[in-house]
Amino acid sequence: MKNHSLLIYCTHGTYGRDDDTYGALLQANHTLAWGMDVTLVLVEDGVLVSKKGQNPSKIGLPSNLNELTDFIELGGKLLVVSESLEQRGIRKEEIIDEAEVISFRDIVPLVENHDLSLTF
Amino acid sequence: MTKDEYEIDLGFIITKAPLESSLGEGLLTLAHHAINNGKNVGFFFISDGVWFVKKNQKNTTINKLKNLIEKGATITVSKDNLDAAGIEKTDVLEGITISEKPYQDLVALVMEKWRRVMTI
Amino acid sequence: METGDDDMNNPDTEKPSKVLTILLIKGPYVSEAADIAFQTALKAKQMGYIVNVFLYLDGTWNSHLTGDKNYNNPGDWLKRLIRKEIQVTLCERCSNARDLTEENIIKGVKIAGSTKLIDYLRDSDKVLTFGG
Repeated sequence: MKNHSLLIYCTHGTYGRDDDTYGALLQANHTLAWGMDVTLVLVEDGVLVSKKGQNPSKIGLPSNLNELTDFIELGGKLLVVSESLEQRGIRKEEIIDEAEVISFRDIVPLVENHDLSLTF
Repeated sequence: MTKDEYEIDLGFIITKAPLESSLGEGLLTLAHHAINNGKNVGFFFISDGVWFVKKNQKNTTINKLKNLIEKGATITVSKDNLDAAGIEKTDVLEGITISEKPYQDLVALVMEKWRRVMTI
Repeated sequence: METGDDDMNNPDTEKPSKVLTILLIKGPYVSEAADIAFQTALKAKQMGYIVNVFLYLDGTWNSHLTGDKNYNNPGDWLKRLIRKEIQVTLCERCSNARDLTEENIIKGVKIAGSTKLIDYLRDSDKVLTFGG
């Protein structure tokens, strides 16, 4: 096995782009379940998937928080970019407690220290 | 391959136009952080990404790109896509390599010259 | 266009055994992502690399383009990938969601679970995502 660690750069987090959002989370969870270390970086609109209190039942979709919860329980590392939160008016208290907030510049060493990265 | 066998620490492939989304500018910013931390970076602009290299733009991305060029980033752009966009060579920022065989050059960069790669 | 069918046996080309995996997550025509993904795959194969292509999410729709068209057709690129023996796999879950089956996709494209992608991720030297 050449690669042991994967960084998922998730740039979508809304139900209007749910295929990209859900697709990223699903892949993160599958990869984690199959033994690779996975770090999920939520950036740009990706930060929106970490928002507490989501209830998309009336639009016929499952909550992406379910996948995020699974990700954390499987041992994934969840990082949310502070600049993207601020641009969108979201405070730390409004996102799930398990998310670690990082600065955009912190992404550089993350990319370097993971064997691979995928962008969704 | 060891780190020293790669010329470029971080490579970025950009397929989106500069104002189409904030993702491209985000990667320019990441590149800045990387260079400021002593890393070598490279960019490959293809598809709508070629619009990043056009002179005379009035937006923040062009200044970031110029700055990266001054700091030694290796920038390549696909001639096929420049032609498609009607961008003449004389209208491309200085310090940028125009690739006459974009896919060959892209693959060579990704597989042999770039240690890590991100795409948008 | 630089990618051709005729240039496979260039004696000057080394034959490294490095592996490139391409993950495509966008369908045909909505952007150039599919065209770029497939042309990159073809060129990498021509240059001697081992290439895997995994079609995920709407990327799976590219496999549905079984017919001929007199305009740029990502399905044609996919057929070329198959002819060049590049492994092309559709995500099973995404295919089910879109009613894509072996009966209505390009022959030679395989359908497999996402564990196939994970195998590719584990064993590739580089992975590129197109359509993100």
